Amino acid sequence: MSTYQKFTVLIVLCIIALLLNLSLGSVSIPFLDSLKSLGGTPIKNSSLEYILWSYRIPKAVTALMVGSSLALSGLFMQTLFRNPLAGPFVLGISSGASLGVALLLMGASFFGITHLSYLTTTVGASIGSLIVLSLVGTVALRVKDSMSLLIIGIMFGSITAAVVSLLSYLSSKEELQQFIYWSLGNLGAVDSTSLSILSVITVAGMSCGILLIKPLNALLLGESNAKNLGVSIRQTRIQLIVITGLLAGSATAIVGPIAFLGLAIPHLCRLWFNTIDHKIIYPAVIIAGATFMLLCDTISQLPFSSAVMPINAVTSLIGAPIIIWLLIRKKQLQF
Amino acid sequence: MRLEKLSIGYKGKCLVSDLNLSFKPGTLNAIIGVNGIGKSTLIKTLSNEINALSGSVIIDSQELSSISPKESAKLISVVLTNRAENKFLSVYELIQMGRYPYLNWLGKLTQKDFEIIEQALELFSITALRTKKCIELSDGQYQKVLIARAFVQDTPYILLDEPSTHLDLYHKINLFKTLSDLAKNHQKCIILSTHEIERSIELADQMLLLLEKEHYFSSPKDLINKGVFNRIFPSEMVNFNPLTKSFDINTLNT
Repeated sequence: MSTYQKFTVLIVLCIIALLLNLSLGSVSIPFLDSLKSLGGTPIKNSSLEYILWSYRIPKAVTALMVGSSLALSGLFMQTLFRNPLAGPFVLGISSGASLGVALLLMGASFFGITHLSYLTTTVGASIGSLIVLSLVGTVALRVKDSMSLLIIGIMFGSITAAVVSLLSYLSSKEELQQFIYWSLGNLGAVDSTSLSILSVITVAGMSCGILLIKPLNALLLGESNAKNLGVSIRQTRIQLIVITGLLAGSATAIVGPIAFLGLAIPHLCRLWFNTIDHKIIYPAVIIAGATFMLLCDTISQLPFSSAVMPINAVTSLIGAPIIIWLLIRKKQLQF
Repeated sequence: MRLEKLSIGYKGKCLVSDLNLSFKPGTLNAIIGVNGIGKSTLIKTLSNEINALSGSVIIDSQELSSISPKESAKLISVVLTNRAENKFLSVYELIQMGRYPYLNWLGKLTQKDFEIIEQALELFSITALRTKKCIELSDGQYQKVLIARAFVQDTPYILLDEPSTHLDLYHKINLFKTLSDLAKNHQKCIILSTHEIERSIELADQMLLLLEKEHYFSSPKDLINKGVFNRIFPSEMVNFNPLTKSFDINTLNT
């Protein structure tokens, strides 16, 4: 299969995943009806029309944005740190978000507020991840090599995680439950304001990222070689960290810390496209990330039942076996 | 490329001081000396990866440290051995990376770029390897690919840091021959650090010999006449034989 054919397959898969996602759930909406409604002809059954437009479509768009953001962030971090285990959260973004939410929940109950609105946790998570990110960014300006930066990022993550454990040890059963619920990830709670902010950040981040495709490719040769080719390592590093922070940070703030996808999708794409050229992998991870997230969300809705599984568990349950299977079959991870 | 009162090393440790010499176009220059004497540091200084302790490197009447990374990428290319390149790049992808300084923001190759890449594949007889991943190559083939990458970068200066490590005798000779031809036929100034003293004597135009406190820069013949090769290693172990132009192991004293 040529690269173009692979992209066609990927796009078709993404569209199928989107339609499945819109149609399946506790209530099924026929495929054709959702298509027609998207095209402007309302569905006769007005409650289905309502479910589609005020619940399914925002959720699907969120899944698209979050999936592609996280996959792209993972790609950036893997290339920057030349480490196949790097993911969007190596710089402590998700633990920062967790800390923000944990502090909010604790603080709120201290003032006698028992339930926090969705918007509040989003703001808490954003502030938390921004603080950790700016700390890591400040360090990035001082540290010479990326490996030290990676370790420092992980250390920041550990500190934040430790504070979160302390806080959860001290909190009440109800607070703990709320926190765990948040950490399992939730695509459905998004409101229109958050969704617009997410969309703007995602589109902006991805567009700016296109400018980094060329230096990302040079980084594949190692930092010394990249430098000799005229790449400013420090500048590229900061740009990558800022874009990753925005993409992964906003995704985490809005749907909770969704693990795994950001680590796995770049590997899946490299294996399937049989290249590590970012000109191909960059668009590939965006589409694949979105597709994967849509599929996982569809599955987590447990079609034909009213039960819902946490999205964070589904991404790993589905994704990990795929990676294992691919590795056994292809025998070598391209990295 | 002219070195003026150049001192190199790291913070608090000066390795080589007061280098005054120039590397000319169309020549193969070998830097030799024992481990840790400063060969790689000199390569790194000349490629602007680290700063000199004092003195200056002058290229086309410009000081190296004042040249922007983008401009110096069009003047100096570097072949580093044993660095963390990603070996999953294909040969073609790796070589085309040498065109980086000339490409637009998206890295789109033009007709001229394709031509020079084809020329490099031809020149180093690696056309058959173009779609192979670097991980599938032998050390000798990989070294050729790295040099081809430096070639397409189209710079008047090519620096190589111990390119002959890991190569067998045939490939070592092949490498030196390739570099020597590249210098002559394309008027490149090639500077390499190496432990291959005997190969350098045969094929290099100029040799820079780094010793503990001093250094010599001259043609191999000149250096043999001065008898300086005997001062590289402790004489109780090896002796330089000016007639065979090689080192003899000293078995008499054992």
